[in-house]
Amino acid sequence: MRSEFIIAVKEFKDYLSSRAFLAIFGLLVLIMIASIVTGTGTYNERLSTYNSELTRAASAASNGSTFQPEMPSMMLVFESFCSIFVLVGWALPIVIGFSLISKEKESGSLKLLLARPTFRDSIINGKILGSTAILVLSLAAAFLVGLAILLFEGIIPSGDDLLRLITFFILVVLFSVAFLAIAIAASSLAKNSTMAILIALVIALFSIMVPYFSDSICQVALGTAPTAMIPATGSSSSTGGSTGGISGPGGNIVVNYGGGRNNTVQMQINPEYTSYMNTRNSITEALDLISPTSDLTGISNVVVSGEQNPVSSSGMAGAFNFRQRGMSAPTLGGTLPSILPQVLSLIVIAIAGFAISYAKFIRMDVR
Amino acid sequence: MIKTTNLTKVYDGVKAVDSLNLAVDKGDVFGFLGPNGSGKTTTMGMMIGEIEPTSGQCFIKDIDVLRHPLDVKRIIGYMPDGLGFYENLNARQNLKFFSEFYDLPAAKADQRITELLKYVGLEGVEKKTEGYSRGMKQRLGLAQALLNDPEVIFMDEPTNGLDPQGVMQVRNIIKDLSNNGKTIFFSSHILEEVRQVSKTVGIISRGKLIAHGTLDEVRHKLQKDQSMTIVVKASGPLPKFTDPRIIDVSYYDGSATIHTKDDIRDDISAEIERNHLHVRELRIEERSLEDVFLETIYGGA
Repeated sequence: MRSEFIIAVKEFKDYLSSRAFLAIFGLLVLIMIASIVTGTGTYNERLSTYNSELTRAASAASNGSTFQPEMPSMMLVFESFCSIFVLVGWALPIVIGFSLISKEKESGSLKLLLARPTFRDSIINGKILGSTAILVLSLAAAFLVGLAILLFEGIIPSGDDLLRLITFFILVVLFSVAFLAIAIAASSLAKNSTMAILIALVIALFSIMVPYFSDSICQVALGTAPTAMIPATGSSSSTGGSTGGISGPGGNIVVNYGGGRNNTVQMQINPEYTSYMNTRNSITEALDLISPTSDLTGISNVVVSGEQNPVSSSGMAGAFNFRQRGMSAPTLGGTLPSILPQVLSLIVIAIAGFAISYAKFIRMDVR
Repeated sequence: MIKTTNLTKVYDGVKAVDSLNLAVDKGDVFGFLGPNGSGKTTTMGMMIGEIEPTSGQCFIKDIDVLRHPLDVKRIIGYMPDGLGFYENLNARQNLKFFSEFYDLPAAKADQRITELLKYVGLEGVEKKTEGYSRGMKQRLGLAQALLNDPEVIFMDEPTNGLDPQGVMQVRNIIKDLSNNGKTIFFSSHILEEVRQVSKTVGIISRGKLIAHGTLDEVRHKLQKDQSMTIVVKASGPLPKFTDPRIIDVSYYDGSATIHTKDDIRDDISAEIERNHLHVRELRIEERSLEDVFLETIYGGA
């Protein structure tokens, strides 16, 4: 058997007997079960509303109305799982990865392993392979549990739902692999496991907190926003540094009055303000992109909640929640390009983490 | 069997091993002696392909370690200092895992593991290695080093931290392996340890090999002062010795200790007989390797 597989198989078996891993995996399954049970309740309520609307639509159709309510998607059930997973989902890959190398350094078993007729890259590849395999299997198990509960409840996913679920699973795996890469990098950089988990936790915390502070960071970096002048009407308004309700490129802004009112006005705005807001948005988006947590939030907005873009409607008044308004949600294929930056960001973070681990492990002096 | 040429390792500008030239013959038990931090482990790490040398070469059975590390690792066994095993596994499971890296069929590997566990006295011990004593770990360390029936065995401080019984067991195993034709390269900072089992020794200090050869050769090489001490006892009060080669004499009742530049035992014997006395004892008092080692390495501490 190739060295990579010998090591991967051992790592895989080790995790299955690791108490920390089993505890976090158990927690993940519990979260999935609780979320699905809660989500199923919400789904059934929406389904009931849908059925009522369907009856009303049928009678309205006789009066010439073309309104057709949208049947709630099964993915609705996964929304609460998403909201919890983006907050705690990093724990599983970090528990899997933080001691992958540091523990062997501490215990001295690394010296014995390196004395075998195998190259160092085979060892690190085997470790990455084994830890990724257990991570994917754990997530797959959690998702299958969720799916099993749904089927048990009599909720049959449509083709689109299944496609969204598979896509979401793949991207959750990517998110977890990104954190696994961070944890393994911390493990290879740190002198011991305590330091490794501290580094990994700081990065995880940073990832969670960045979206909350990106606006403040922009405020500090760019200063106060200039006053927005609207020459077309002769009036002016100050945004107070908030993007709330105002969006749009090239000086064309769309003001959404919110509160369910689909009343928008298109106006010209002074270039200073537009330039400031464009820069600010670019920085905010860039900061959010380096946060895997923020990336997964955006991804789940599109893939699970059926939004048109990763920026949630709750956070951006310009966005439009199709399902809440009884309209057809954008197709998955049509919206996937909008999450490309988030997906690429997760891939880059994963590659960077593995590259750091690889480079450090290959050059590591074992004394 | 083992040969190094100008082997050097530099850490942060400090030479941990400095131009080491060493040769160990097949079947030899080579004791690598030096104080803590002298470069023993780094040297061994370079010899087994775990540490990349800054410069120089190392050959095991004429195979270049740097160019063909896997070929070297197939014919060597290594028992590091500060042994660590996978604590969630027992002795057999640990050995089984390590055996998978060699081209051993599963049945043959199992048989080899059974033999080795018996050889090191861990047969029937089923508990996980997290509960092992230092001695048990050392014995398991020996077993894992012998998994591939290596031609050359490297042992880094193999008796470190062991009780006297454990030390004896390790010594016996080393002697037994040597009798079976294995080449053994082992390091220690304890001279007595090296003297007990080694055929040849090398002494390293601050990364430099300062002596290399048999125990006698090393002692003579290290002895900066080539003078010697002669102890003489006679049947009566000794006469005054006046040989110009004598550096210093201490007289006692019927005996003397003579510090001299050369071996002048024949002249002393003749002088005593001229004084109608009988020689009861006449011998050169050799300085022990320990004295020489301590003087060289620690300045006589």
